[in-house]
Amino acid sequence: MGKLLVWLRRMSTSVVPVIIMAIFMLGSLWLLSAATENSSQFGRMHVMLVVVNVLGLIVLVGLIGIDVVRLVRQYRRAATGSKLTVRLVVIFVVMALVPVSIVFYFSLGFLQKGIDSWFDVRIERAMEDSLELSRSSLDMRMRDQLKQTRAIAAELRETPNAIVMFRLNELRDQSGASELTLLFQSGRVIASSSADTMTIIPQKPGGSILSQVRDKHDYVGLAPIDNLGLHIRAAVQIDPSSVAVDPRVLFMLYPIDARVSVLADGVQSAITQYKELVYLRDPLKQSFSFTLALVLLVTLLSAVWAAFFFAQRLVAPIRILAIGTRAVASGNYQKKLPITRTDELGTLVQSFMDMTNKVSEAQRDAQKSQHRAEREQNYLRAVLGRLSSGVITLDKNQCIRAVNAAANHILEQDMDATMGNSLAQIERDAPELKTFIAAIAKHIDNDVDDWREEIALTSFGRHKTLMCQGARLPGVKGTTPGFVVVFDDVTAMIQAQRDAAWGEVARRLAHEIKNPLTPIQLSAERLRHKYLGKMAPEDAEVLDRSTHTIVQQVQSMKDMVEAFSEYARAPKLQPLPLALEVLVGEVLDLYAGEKQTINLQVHAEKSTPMVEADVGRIRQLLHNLIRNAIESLSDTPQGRVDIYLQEIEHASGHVVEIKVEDNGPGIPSDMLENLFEPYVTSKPKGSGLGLAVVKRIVEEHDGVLYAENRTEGGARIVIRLPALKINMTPAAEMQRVQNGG
Amino acid sequence: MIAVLLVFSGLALAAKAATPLFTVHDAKTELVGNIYRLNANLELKLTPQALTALDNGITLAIILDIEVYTPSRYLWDDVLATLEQRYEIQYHTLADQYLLRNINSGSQFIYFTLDSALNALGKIEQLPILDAHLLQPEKHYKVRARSRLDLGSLPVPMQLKAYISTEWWLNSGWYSWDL
Repeated sequence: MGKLLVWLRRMSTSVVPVIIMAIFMLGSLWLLSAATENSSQFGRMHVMLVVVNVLGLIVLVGLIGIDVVRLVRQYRRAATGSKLTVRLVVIFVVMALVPVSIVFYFSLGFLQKGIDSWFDVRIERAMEDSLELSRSSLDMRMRDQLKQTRAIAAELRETPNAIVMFRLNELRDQSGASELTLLFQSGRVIASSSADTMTIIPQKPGGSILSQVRDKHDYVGLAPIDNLGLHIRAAVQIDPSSVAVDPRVLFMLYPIDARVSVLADGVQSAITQYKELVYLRDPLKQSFSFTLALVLLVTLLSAVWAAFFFAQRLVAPIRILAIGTRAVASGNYQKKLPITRTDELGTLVQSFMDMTNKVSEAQRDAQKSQHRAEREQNYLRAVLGRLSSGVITLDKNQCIRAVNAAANHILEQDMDATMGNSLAQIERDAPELKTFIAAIAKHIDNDVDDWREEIALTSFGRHKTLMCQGARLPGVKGTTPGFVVVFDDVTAMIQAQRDAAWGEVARRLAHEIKNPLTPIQLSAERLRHKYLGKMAPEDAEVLDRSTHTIVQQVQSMKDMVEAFSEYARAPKLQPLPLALEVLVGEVLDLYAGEKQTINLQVHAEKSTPMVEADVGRIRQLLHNLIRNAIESLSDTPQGRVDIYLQEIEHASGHVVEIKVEDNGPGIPSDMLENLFEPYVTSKPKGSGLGLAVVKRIVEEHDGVLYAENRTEGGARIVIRLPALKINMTPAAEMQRVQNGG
Repeated sequence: MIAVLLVFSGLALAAKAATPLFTVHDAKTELVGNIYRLNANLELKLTPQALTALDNGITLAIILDIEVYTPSRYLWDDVLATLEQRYEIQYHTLADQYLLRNINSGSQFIYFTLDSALNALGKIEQLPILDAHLLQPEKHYKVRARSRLDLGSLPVPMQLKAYISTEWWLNSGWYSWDL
């Protein structure tokens, strides 16, 4: 079954079987047509031809069925070219069906009418008349021949059998009969005479004639004799009055006149043929109609099959093209398409392939360029990524196009998230960048090609100094260029310069001031010792007070120089994991005496992560902050210091925030900016180094700090230190701290 | 083709189921000299359709098939000799009688009635069928005969209908006997 289907499928797609089948079907139809016309040559093949043609029809229906099923499947899955094939098939079928149907309809009508026109009542009547006429004419002859036969029988009545033979020839010649036979009633021949000397066996009357004669009824009738034509046969008893058991009978054969015989044969043949024709009238119509219908069906189904065949052949290049187009659409330019034709469709496929080849080459070039561009871009990105300077590029609409990692770090913003955003939008989302963005926007708006500016930025209360440089990017072929902004955080550098300056100051102070202080102190003590006892009490009192003041002030200056020296000298950091809430608790314990006048409170989250820090430095930091806060509360009746410890999520990662708040007078606004600079203090007794030391410790631990005034009154100092990634339980850490770790 | 044969054989079976109109009675062979001769009695009756056709000038051909064969256990017997006796019956309008022609011998006879013509046809006497020299003495031979109406000799327009109609299926089936 499978092989048959494969064969049928191959049959339905190849040209040679189509031609063979067409020739075969045409030949078969021609033979059928010839056979239907009653051709003696093919008459006996008629039924076989019908069977062959019906089988051909079944094969055609099978082939068409396969094509239809295939086409329906293709149509359902929306295969390429199936709709066009359906359309072409429908057009072909309609083009074939309509004219063939019209021809069939009219042919059928003509056929029916044509056959009917053969028959006419008048012809039928004429036939019957001619038959009657022939019979009448022959009847007369037959009566004459019967009379003559009876006369010969009368002559032979008295002739004995032994000599009758000698008279027969004579009597036959006289009567004009062709044959004369004398026989017994039982059929036994007595004697015979024939005009044809070649005749050996005489004609004998049949049993029915003899029985008629036996009943005393003479017989005369017509009969065609083998090849001799129509004859009159007559049979009479020789002696009707005889009572013999086996009486004699005379049987004579008379030829009919040649002319009459030909006419009679003609009438007989014409009547027979006409009767046959009348009888075959309906079968003829049915047979011709059937043949016509068969021819039509074969033609029609062949046309339908041809429609499928040619539609598929016509659509094949289009399908190939569609496959090629799909391949191109999916990015495959290497797809080779078979060129099966040499006509315009073949040229189209060839042109398509040429086009895809060119597109493929262009795409290869484009890919090469793209790879080159990507390499360069990656190279640039790597360079930018490794730059310590922040780089931001903007398009002509002042929207961010590229940002490097250093920019994120310096601006403390996730600038990658702002990619594509305009400067105005970024300013709305991150108000802390306002001064930075305003400075950039100003230069871009002023259409400055190259600029440089130092920008002060306050981020989370911390002041930063950025050194920005901007430039217009070169435009490519008429496009409006963008801008690039490169900036560095010079805060640390400036701070370092400042610290270095202060360190230098401290060293010079220590060196230049500390050295003369001791001789000054010693000289003052010597003056006192030498002259105090020798002077008058009034003068002695002046001297005593003056030298005492000198010694006291020198000592004070020594302390101050010592503090500066201490600030300038920074011991090496020893960072270890540290639980801040434990350390804060320990430090606060030292201020137990203060708690009577000031309310000291710690607010720590239970799960505050640890930090990696030098315990001694952080302890000093906490002392400085708490002492600073307590000192600021000297004039506040219900002084209060709150220390908060909490974990917060920052752009640069998780940090632990230490917040020290008081309800004192707050920080004077003119000092807020330089609060953490050395020698900046609002307190009459302060050395001005407490917060500077705090700041240095925070920076040593990669932390940030800032100070601000609380809206409800008082100051707030915020310190953020990076949280340790591996968390330890506070209890374990407490143990470490107590162990001096 | 197989389907068509199946249809025809189905029709043949249906026709057999009804009372057969063509029958072979008392067929036997006798050796006269060195020639086997057939004596048989055929009963031949025509259907109304066949009678109508005959009266309307259609010539009916009746065939007597005779086969001498060796029976085989397999599907096909080994046929030694076949003989086809062909007769034609025609109504003679002018004479108002029925003409019976033996196509093999060329002789023709005329009868008042169809029955007498069919009776005459059905009486087969001393019909030589086989030379005894052609037989092998050790083999067992059988003879079979059947009479049938030859549908292929009907006018073409009638043939297709005749082949698919039981009214025209006149066939006695094989009647066999030992040689």
